[in-house]
Amino acid sequence: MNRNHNPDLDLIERYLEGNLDEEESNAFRKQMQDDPELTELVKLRKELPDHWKRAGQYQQVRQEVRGSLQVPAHRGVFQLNRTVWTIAASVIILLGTALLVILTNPSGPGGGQMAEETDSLLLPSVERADDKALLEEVNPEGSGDMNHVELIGPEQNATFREGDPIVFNWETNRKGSIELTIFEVTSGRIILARTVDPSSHADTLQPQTLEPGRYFWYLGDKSQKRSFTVINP
Amino acid sequence: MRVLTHAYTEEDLLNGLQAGTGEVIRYIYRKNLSPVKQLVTRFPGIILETEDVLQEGLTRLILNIRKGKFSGKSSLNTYLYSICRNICLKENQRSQQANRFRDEEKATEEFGNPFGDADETEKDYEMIQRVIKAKEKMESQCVEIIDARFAIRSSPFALRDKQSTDCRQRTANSEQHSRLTPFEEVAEHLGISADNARQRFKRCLERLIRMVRPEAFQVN
Repeated sequence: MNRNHNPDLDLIERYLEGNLDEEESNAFRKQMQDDPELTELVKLRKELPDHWKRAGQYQQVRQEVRGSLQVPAHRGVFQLNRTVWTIAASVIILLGTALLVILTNPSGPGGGQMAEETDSLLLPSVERADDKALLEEVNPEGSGDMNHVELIGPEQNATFREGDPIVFNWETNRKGSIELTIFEVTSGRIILARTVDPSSHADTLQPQTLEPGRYFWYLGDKSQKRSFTVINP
Repeated sequence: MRVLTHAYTEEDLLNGLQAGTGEVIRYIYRKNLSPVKQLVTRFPGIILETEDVLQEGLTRLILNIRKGKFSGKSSLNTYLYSICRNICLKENQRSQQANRFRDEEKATEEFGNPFGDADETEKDYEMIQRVIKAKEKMESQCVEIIDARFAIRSSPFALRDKQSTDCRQRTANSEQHSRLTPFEEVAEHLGISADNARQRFKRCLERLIRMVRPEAFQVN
């Protein structure tokens, strides 16, 4: 067997079930010796129950993780208890304000020490010098908004049925043209890359264009991307 | 802020992940968000977000713990970080922008996890993803019958009489197959005839193999 011939799956099944007579079985083994692709396929077939089982376990644990992090399938936003977020936000604002006051008055009593403690509380495991270097490395030109693109829809982790049209919306002050790109997450393959007019603020993907799966999309700037899922209805 | 400052022992965390305790999963997620965010920024070419990498890492961490693959030679956080790093390296390689990190990747391939805690290979996870994707594309009837047939039994069945002892290879293959649910039981479970179950399973299995390993089949 090679790529020019479709493999005889029925023969593989009969071989694995022990339903070939001795002569057929020997011939099949000889065929495997001469054809590494057939050997690979038989190996895959033997391992398939285990792969199937592990895929089920993976899906179950993935669901546990998503459930614990309260990530709804249609939104995918990491949500904690609203009260916890409110308290956390308040504390960060307070600390930020305190830090600002201290930094504008560095000679004040104990100012340096308090700033150090605050930083280590906010970023417990990050070396600040490295952090700054990394940020500069990723975005060397700063965050100017000359070419700013704001993705509006689909929202992060939105879900669509295979037969749904998918409308992409954005806001931008960019002129000329811009590329709408869609990646398939599992393979990392670019599924679609087409030039759109930024001033149109929208582009529609026709139904059945994407197979079920998880995708990322972005407009020009790869660092700003969103995911969405297409499901089998 | 109680949850944010709560201190768990390694044993608490291990037991919590073993049991799938939501509070422990959230704690580990928060604890590792910042380091993993820093890690992801080192791979600007990858398309995954920090949250995706960390969720995937946590999933693999839990699976490995439940399979007994985590020996405790490293801390859970170190182990999780190493898993996330492998995910990033793989994604980076996949996006073909690995030039800057080629040396680092080579080092990982050569030395693996320095703490000796095993993880599945990326190849295994790729296969898992392929199977999941295939499952999502298949009709529910197919998923149902493959589920039923592949529900591997904990102890192998006694070998059938017809299996002669003078044919070792045949016996080995059959032994593995005999651990699968017999078609008679599958048929009873689904309320169809055994012949029908066999035919349906073969049709669905072929679809599955075609989706998992399309390169083995003629395209045109």
